[in-house]
Amino acid sequence: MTKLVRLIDQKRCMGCRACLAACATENHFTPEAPWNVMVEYEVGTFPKVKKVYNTMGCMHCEQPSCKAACDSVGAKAISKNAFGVVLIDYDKCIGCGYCAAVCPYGVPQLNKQVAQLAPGKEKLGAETIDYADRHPTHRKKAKVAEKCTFCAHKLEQAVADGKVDRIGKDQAYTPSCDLVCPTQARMFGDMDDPNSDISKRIKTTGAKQLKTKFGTSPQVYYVLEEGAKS
Amino acid sequence: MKQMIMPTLMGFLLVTGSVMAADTPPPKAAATAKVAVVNANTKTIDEKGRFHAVHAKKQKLECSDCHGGGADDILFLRTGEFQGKDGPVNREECLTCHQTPKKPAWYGSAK
Repeated sequence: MTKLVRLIDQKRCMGCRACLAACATENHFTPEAPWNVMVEYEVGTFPKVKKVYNTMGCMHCEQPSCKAACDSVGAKAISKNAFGVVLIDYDKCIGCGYCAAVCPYGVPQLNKQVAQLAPGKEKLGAETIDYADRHPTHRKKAKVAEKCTFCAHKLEQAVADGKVDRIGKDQAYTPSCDLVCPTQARMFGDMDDPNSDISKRIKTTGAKQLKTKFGTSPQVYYVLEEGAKS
Repeated sequence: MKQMIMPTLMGFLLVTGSVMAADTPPPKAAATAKVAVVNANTKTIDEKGRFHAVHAKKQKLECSDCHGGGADDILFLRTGEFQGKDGPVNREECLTCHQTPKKPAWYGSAK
């Protein structure tokens, strides 16, 4: 089995937001409905204070509450694939917003309108591709829920090319946010492989998931800054 | 004889299983929720009053089941979202129902 997870090292992150910009252009998220955000806060007491940079995207939970809510209303628009990636089918989504209401991480966004990433300027990333030629996760619609897909279009390409073992290693098969980090604060790979780089780094750093009290078993791990919220 | 063993064993497991399940206290929100079929159709939770119509009127949850129990939640992606004058909704209560392993039997009855 392959269980894809992400590691975010707060001790390395300097808050540059390159990951946010990469996600925006790769996935054409609407500015009002971002898939990836930077949460900043301070810890400690003067004079020993620190700033914590906590980037947040979808946690791709093993027990996704969004999927439970979606199934309950009968839309069944949210699925979890063999890699553990939680995806929303825009054609099935009825825009009820229940997924957004129950997610403890506040991830799903009801995209009220499909807007250009940089209004009045040239098109960027997926915007330059004809609508029909885009990956289904990039065929945006107004009034449906959307969120981070772990760059599902790249993962599917890895499967099509028979290069699943290159996920997290090759540019073409790795989520864009994880590629662009200038401080290597982000990592992506297979946690089911005990010899993978990410498995080793999670083990050696003691990385933790956020908000474990909710029992959703997120697939994003954080190396927490001292005093950081979890 | 062998034909008798399996049904007996199955029956024993079912009985002990239900007793063990009864020992676990039900989550607060799930315990107070009433069985009501919620017709979602294409209505959005953003619609004014929809959230309360579902949870307070249909499911008869108490105000305190949702309000006032949540601490300020900074680790929340939709950073601009209004978290309520009594504090944010405590999503631990939401997940007493909205989660696959713990969901109550009536959950998912929406048509």
